[in-house]
Amino acid sequence: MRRDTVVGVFSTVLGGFYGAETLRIRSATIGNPWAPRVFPLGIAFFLIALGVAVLAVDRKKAAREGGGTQGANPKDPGYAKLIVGTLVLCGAYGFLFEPLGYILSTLCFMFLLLMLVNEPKRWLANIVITFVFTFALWGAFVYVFDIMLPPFNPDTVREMFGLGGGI
Amino acid sequence: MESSVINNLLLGFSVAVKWQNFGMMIVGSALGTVLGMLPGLGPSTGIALLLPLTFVMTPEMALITMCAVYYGAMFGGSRSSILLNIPGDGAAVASCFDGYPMAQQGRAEAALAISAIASFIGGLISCVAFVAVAVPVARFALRFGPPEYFVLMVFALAATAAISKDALLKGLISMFIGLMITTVGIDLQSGVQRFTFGSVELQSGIDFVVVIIGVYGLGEILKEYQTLRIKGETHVQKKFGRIWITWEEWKRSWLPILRQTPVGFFIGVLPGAGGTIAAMMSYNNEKQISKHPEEFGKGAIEGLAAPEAANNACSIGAMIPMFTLGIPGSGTTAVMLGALMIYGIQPGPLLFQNNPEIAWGVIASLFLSSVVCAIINIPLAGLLVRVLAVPPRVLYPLVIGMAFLGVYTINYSAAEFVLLTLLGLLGYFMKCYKIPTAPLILAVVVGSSMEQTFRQSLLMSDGSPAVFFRSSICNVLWLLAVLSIAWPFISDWRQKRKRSA
Amino acid sequence: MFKKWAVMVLSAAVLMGAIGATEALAAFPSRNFECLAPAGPGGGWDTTMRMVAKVLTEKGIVGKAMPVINKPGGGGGVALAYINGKKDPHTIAVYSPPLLLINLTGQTELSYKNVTPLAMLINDFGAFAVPANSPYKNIKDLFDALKKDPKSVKLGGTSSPGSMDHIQFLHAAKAAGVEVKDIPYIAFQGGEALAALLGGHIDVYTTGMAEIVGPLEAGDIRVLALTSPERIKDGPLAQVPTLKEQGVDAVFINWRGIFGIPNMPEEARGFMENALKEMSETPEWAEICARNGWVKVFMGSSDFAAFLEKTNEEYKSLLETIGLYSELR
Repeated sequence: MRRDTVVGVFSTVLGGFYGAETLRIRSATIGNPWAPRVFPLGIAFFLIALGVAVLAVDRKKAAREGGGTQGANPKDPGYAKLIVGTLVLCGAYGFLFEPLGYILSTLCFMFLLLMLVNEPKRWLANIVITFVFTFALWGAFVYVFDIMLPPFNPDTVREMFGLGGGI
Repeated sequence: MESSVINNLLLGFSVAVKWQNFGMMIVGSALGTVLGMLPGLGPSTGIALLLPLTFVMTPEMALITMCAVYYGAMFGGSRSSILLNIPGDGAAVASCFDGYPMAQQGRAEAALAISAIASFIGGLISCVAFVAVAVPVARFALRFGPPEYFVLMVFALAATAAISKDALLKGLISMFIGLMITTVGIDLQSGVQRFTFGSVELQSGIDFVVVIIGVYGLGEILKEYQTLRIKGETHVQKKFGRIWITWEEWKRSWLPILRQTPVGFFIGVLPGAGGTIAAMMSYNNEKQISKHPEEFGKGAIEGLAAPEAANNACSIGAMIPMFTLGIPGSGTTAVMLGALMIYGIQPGPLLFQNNPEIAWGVIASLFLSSVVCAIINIPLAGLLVRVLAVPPRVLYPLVIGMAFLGVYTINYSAAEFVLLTLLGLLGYFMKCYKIPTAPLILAVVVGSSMEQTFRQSLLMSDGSPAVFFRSSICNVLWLLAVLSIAWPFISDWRQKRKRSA
Repeated sequence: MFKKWAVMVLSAAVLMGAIGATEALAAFPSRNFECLAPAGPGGGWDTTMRMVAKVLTEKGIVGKAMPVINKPGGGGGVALAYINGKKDPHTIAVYSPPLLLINLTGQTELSYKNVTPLAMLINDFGAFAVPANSPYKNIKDLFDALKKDPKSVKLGGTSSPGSMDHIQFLHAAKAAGVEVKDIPYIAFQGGEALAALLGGHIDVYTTGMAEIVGPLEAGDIRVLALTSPERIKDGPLAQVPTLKEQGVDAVFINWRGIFGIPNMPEEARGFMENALKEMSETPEWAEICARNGWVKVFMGSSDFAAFLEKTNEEYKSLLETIGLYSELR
């Protein structure tokens, strides 16, 4: 599919979805009840209008160029794995950061991320980098910037694994 | 009058060069530079960190240190913009546009040098302006009410969306997505929750730093993954030269620096605007008046010099409302104001009468901090530039790790991690489909104020839109907004006519 | 290979959790505290929490470390959800009127009932300011104008409707017999409201005392009234009359206190209440209060709980009048 076709469809769909959500905003009880919806509705309108405009312009261009896909840069065949893997790891990091605490979760996250991106054959380097990164930043934050990083939190871990309260 | 200013300044310098004060200034500048470099952390973290120390410091020492942190962060913020394409803070976003391409072309040394030089000159000129015109400028800035701010933001957005002329439609889409992001959270005027989907974390909205780090930082890395294995072992750069610029580069930069400093300074004085707007506007201005606008975004040195000068000028300007009127002009100055109050010192016009050693000591320290920061930054840049020698397959995971930690410190919560991941995906999508990201970023920074000032204005006028044309400031800004959208087309048309003639 | 690793890490984590749990049963305090500031660094909540923790540990009143953790978001709601989920009593937080207001306006279903009040430590008061050239010379002029036409006065404050700044003004106006339902309110952020007042873009600014001292001294503004029960003794605010002096029978206190986890064990609650009482009697605490312009008070656990209950009803009826009260339970 042509690049701008995707952009046009994306903008139109996003605008439509956002506009629909806007209508679900509660009315204001102070001042004009519609006031909180006006600005978002305007945004939704413009997103849809611009999406349609991009599609229209692109149609004309496609007719002139005679269709066909645009030339893409040479890509690494395995890049999708890297992107999906990174996104999954980032999401998991977000869920485990507070329950496991900074040190445990960061050690896991950095190691797995490095194994993914820097490849498993450099495992020793990956371990070293992981440890240096984790503890250097921990030292800097806790001792230099006086920022508390989350400690290991037994309550949440127990809840997550359904172990119940008592031991 | 003349001599009294000079006498006061001399008094100020005598305070600022006391060894304890000067020492703390160096410490503060270094700390600020480091904090500014790390995405997510910024001057307000550094200043809050110093708050407990206020018990052992004299007021002028505390204030001088805080100003140094604030100032250092402005210098540091653009390091990661240039080297990694991840802005350290909002004000450093514009430094990515040409700074990162420069680094990719093997001109990182020049980019880092011009950023320090431009920051230094912009800061120094603003210090002089501070001494000369602080009070009248601050009084003038008060004439900006909600309607004036609204039109100012329309102008800033219009100019930014228009910088990519070929992709004007997509630039506007990008801008509206940015505005959309800012509508999440509790609406300030009515207290109604919007798009929070029942989440407490979303009630206070999406912090723009998360958006910047996600769309720029993570998005950029995901995009680079496409060619990671093909490029293999190639580093951006292996041999490093001296951090300095050539005569040719200086000739291209000095005028933009001088031109954009006043812009940044004045935006700084306005309590409702900030460094991001200053940097973006100066970038737009420079591109519009440039003889070769096509080089912008591809490593034009003036495209880096202009916003760097403007954002430092802005940070000096932002102290004016605090000193002259007692109004905090930004989040950071608000924390400084709090610190002053711990000493029982009231900022405002009387500060200059009641505590001249503090007021003038701080002003003098701003001059000295400019010098100190420039001196710290040049050798530091020589060290930092070596980041480019790290192969991307190691660098990227480290940058991702830093980005997450930076985001954690914004709200001290990991709830934003998921958001950051999603925004990274959005950034990746935008880069793949060639949607310009700059309008989105500026829209995220100004969007909330833009809506709020719009509604505040209408509340002031009982709903009459005439309020947006109530003053000559409004009208001039409207004119500029229209001009900035029309300008690319006008200059096109003029060139065509010239060619056909 | 990865999987094995991950399993090992997780089982180690669970094991450590078990150890943590048995420890929590020992005498109080048995480990380091978590002191929550429900906002970012530098604000009122953050400063209070840091100062309380500093005095408690430096004077040796509490023998364990008390690091302060910032949990901003949702006007304090994020921190409230966090502390409500805690089972370990070594977590305390600072709160003030927004604790009640965010519940009453429907931002969160959690309320003051989801925390244990330990002690009220500080009072602060509201102020109503007008520009120096304003036609309103005293609070009566202002309320008279509002009685004639509630829309004739542009009232501004920092943060959204239903927040403290807004409520304190309505509280005073209601006591003066003004029909509060129709008074428009323009919400600003940070220093913008003060700038808007000085620039003449709004007529009245409702805010905390500390915010307006600078411009008051400089003669840029006039402060019509403070919401304190009696006059402030010294400083530039000593010349400002209270509402009561001007015949408006209203007091609005911006109280600040320390809270513990819900259903806090009696032993822990008692320990913390006594520790805070001891702290509030130290000269160090008195000095901190004086420096920050806070009025030092002390109200113990049970009185504080009763106070909260009464205050909650007051706020609720005000919010109901202007239609901002929201049933979210």
